[in-house]
Amino acid sequence: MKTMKSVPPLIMALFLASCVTGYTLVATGVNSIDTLQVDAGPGWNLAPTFAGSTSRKNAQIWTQDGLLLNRLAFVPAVADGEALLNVKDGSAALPVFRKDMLPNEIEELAESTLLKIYGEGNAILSTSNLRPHNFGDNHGFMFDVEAKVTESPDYRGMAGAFIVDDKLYFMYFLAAHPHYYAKHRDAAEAIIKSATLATPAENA
Amino acid sequence: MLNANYLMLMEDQLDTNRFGRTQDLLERHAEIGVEPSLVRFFYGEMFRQRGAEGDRELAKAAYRHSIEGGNAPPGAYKNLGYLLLKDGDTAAARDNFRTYLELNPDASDRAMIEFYLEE
Repeated sequence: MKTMKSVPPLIMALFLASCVTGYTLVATGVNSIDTLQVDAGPGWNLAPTFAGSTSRKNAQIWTQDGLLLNRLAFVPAVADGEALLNVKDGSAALPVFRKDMLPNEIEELAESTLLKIYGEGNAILSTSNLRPHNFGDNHGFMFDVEAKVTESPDYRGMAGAFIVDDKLYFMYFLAAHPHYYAKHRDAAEAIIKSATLATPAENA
Repeated sequence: MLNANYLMLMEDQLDTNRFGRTQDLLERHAEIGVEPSLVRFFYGEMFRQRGAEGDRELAKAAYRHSIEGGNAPPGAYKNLGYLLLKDGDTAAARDNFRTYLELNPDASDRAMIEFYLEE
């Protein structure tokens, strides 16, 4: 018999988040997430933050159909020594960002962090197709992600990242494969690829 | 086949970010006779990802040791190249990147490696 103990805490947090009302429709066009700007298409909903959330304070998660089916996450301005998630429990063994990380190391940072979201021991994460991509004037890169999760559909998606002023800007899309991944892949990738930093004037 | 599965299993172990456990496993793998070039490669991976003081030098030594063993996975050249790039030794980094692509012409990260070869 399955007990609640078998549900990874971070997955449970996502489930609880999906039960809370308070989703707000994301406006189409340019949206600001901290100093990050992305060009959103229609149909995305901003997930509410809630007590116990593992998202960083300035991060946002959008979804089309619910967080367990698809999510598009934006994690702006991660400073040297910080993790991509806000988890106080030191036993989580979360990797941290280092400002001198190269693309392969950010890819590994993302892989290890996303593994913690699905629950260590409950998922196998793999990444591939690391490739350069310019986010506005900033050199960055993208890669693809696959997750095999116990008693769950497989997830697929992609991530993009760049570093400016020693801070990491990280975005990822993950969706249940095949239906929701195929349905939203192009729209999510276009949003990630549109990411730029607000100019100082826009940020003032 | 065994080597391919070993690579996959150890990459999953590294994803846990639990380096003490990874080191214990590698010590046991060396004792039971897992292909030394693979064990040395994953020592390199562990030191590189742990990133503590002195780990970069330990990682480079482990990758070189793996390569000297004759059965290093192509990733040993690639990740040695990335560490040399961080050291500012661009010429040596490129040599290792070229070897990586020669050994792994269908590498999914070819575009990223070529970016560093052309930069």
